[in-house]
Amino acid sequence: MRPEGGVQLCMGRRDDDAPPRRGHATAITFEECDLLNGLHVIVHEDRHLPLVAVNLWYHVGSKDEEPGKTGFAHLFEHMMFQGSENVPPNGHFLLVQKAGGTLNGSTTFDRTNYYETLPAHQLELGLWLEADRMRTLRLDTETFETQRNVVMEERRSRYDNQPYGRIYESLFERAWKIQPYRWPTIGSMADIRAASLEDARAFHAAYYRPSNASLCIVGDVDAQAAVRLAEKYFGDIPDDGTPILRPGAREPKRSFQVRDLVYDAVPLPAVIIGFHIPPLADDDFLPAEVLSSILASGESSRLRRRLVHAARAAQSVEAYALGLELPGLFIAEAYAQIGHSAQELEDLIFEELAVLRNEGVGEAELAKARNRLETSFVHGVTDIQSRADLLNAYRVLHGDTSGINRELERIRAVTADDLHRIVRSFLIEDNATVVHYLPYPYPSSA
Amino acid sequence: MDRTTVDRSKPPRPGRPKKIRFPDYFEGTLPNGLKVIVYERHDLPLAMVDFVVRGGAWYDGDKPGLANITAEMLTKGTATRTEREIAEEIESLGGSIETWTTWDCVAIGVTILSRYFRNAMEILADVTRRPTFPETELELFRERHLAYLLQRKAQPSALASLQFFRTVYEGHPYASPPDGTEESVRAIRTDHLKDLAARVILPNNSFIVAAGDVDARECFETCAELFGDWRGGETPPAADMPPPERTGVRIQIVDRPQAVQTSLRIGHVGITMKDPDYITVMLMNTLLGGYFGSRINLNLREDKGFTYHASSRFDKWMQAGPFSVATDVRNEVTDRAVEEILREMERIRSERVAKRELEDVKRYVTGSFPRQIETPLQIARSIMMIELYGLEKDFYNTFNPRVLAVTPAAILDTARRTIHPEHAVIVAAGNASLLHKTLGRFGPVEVFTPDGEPVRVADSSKGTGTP
Repeated sequence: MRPEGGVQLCMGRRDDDAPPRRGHATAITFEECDLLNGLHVIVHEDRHLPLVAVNLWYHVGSKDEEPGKTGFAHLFEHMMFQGSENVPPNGHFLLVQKAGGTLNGSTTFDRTNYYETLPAHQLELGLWLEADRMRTLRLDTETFETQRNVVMEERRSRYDNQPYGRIYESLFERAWKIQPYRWPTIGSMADIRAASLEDARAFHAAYYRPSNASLCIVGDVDAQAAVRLAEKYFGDIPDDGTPILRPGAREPKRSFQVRDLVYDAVPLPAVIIGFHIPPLADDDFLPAEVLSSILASGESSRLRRRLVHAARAAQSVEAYALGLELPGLFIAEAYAQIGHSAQELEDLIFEELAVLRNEGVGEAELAKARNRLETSFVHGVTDIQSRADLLNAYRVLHGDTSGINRELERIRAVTADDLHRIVRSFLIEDNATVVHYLPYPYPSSA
Repeated sequence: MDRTTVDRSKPPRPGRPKKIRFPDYFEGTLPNGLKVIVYERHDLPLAMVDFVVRGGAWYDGDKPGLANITAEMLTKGTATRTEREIAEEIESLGGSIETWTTWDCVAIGVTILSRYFRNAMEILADVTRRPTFPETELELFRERHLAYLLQRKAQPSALASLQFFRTVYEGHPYASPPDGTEESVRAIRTDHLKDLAARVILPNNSFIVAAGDVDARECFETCAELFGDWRGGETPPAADMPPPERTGVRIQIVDRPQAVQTSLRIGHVGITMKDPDYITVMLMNTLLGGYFGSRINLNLREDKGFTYHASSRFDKWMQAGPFSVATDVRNEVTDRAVEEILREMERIRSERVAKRELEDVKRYVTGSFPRQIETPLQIARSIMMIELYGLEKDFYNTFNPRVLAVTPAAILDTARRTIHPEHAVIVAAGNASLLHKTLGRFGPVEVFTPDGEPVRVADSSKGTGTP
């Protein structure tokens, strides 16, 4: 090949991939089934590289905790790496890394996930490890105490010793009075200190069951063979079918604004505003997400233009729709420039929302948001582990795995009227929780 | 399948591994010296293009942050587009344009749905060839950047890192942060930006890496059309000043009276990107602190519960970057954490590593190879390293065989050459009144403000410290 235009040298050859398709993403094909014990299994073949992603979701998160036991779902996640009947403490890390793989777990409000990305010929190792800790767990005092300390350091590292580190929990505890999103996933220090091994045993029995889990395998595998392997390792794990009690209480509709000030060791003021919005699976959620893109995704977005470029009052501003199983929040947050106040940022945000309410959104702006969401969707499925996690998210949180292939279509179907309805119904002052997050008014060394 | 026959007592035996190679890619050079590299992969409709200039923070001279601000300002106005038009145009297509700066390069990258590839390339050509550095945009950027620098000073790990570089690289360019200091950022004017841009942003001092859903022929043609009539110039001299000698143990505290945790950095000058023992150093570091199963993390986290995470690394640039251990630990165990880290540094240079431990690390590193070339972005960044640092073309394909050939004796030799607890600079960002006494057992303690100004011990220790 010798292109025109003065190119002097070319080397290399084409990959033997499919010919170039310029245009839109194609469907993610998958197989799925339930094992007899209720474990859901999803397999998506991707033969590009000899890699496999094992991704296991348990439908339990910090919202399943009770007051006094906050942070437990996450502390328990740490204990899942401390060994099971046939796996020694830390065996997951040692065995997976020795196999050339990587692994981790994470806990959110609604779910806990565990995942490994392995060379494809090590798929069985991943399944064996996950199955062993679903069946049994090694819970002893020594490792529990160590992990309690590790988690307390995690809380300090990520929240208490970070400027603005407690901004989200300060919003959540004021925005929600009923829903169990009112405490952070990491939990309170006092509750982490009080957690017991008995709690851990009960938690494993209650939530770490096949029927409360979804296993997704993505990569260089044969779908049928992968399902057979899942059956081999997970098929005989019993599940007594006891129904799981889920927190159902919803935050009542509010007709007044909640406002507060929080002081912290931060150099500049910030403001965070949360508006109650419908849950992730609701039809109104996606329009809220499109709105967040119009408001604050990219330098050309409305809030960035207004707060950062025109008023020069904010150093940065973000907006996003927090999609949760129970009703979530639409969040806008801005960090002040030197010499500007949180009140000024708040006023500017509400002014922009008023403009949006009065004038609506034009077709070009809607097209921009669609393009941006399409890009970020495609970005989000580039690697096999992210794709596996997203498949599980559609299965567990939306109740329909194939939703992953309708997402772009749904984004394209959002209209200016939908956006207008969201702004008028949800992004209003009475539905807002506003926190001014401020530097201490006295010297911090005092 | 008969379920009852599953033997759960041992890990299942792996299947047969497949061999993989770093993928092939196309490259060519325009007559003006601009090299164009294309990695095609068509499974997702996304393209990434990086324009990489061999002219990073090394060229800041006496104005730390100059290259970084120059790079940021490229997208803030050109001869044909305002800042707002640039943002509006690329974002309307769902794309983004970003710049970043290292010691050795300035890069401008676009990410774009492949159906808009041509539009993104036009913007990329505009911002690299015709930036105007408008005064008003510089002022806005300066305000935002000063606010960012102020926030950085409240960030414990950033404070520890800034002080660590100031001390390890005293008198060397690496002592100043690539994103500048308040003083230097205040002093930078548009003339400085224009001068630096004219000096380093040249077609014969740059290269383009395109990856993803891109057609190589189309990409070469587009580059020839958009960049072909750009004339080259004299390229700036390469980074040539070696870092200072190591000078014995230093113990420094950056005082954060309100800290509920101590952020630690421990280390000294390390190796360059072109170090002949690159592979051995990388393997040795992985074992010491480079992955979850490393000695430092297992010791500090899983054995002692001092921290959420502890790791070590070698930063590698044209000149020798640092070896450093980083962790956040609770106040009361700071001195014990330092002791354990120094102990691990000493152990790896005095005891030969057991064959089995080395085998485990080798399996981890060689097995990680396919994960490191999984996405077009990863491939593009790997190609960028080959090009920027002049690594051998088959660097990634010879990587695993070279890892497998490393012996325990080589690890020991390399550790002796590159790990020096006797020259460790120990920086702790935390509560000086608590730390001053406990860290005193490692030697004389110096205390600094977050700006790096020395503090007299009597002022900061509130009477609890030893002189």
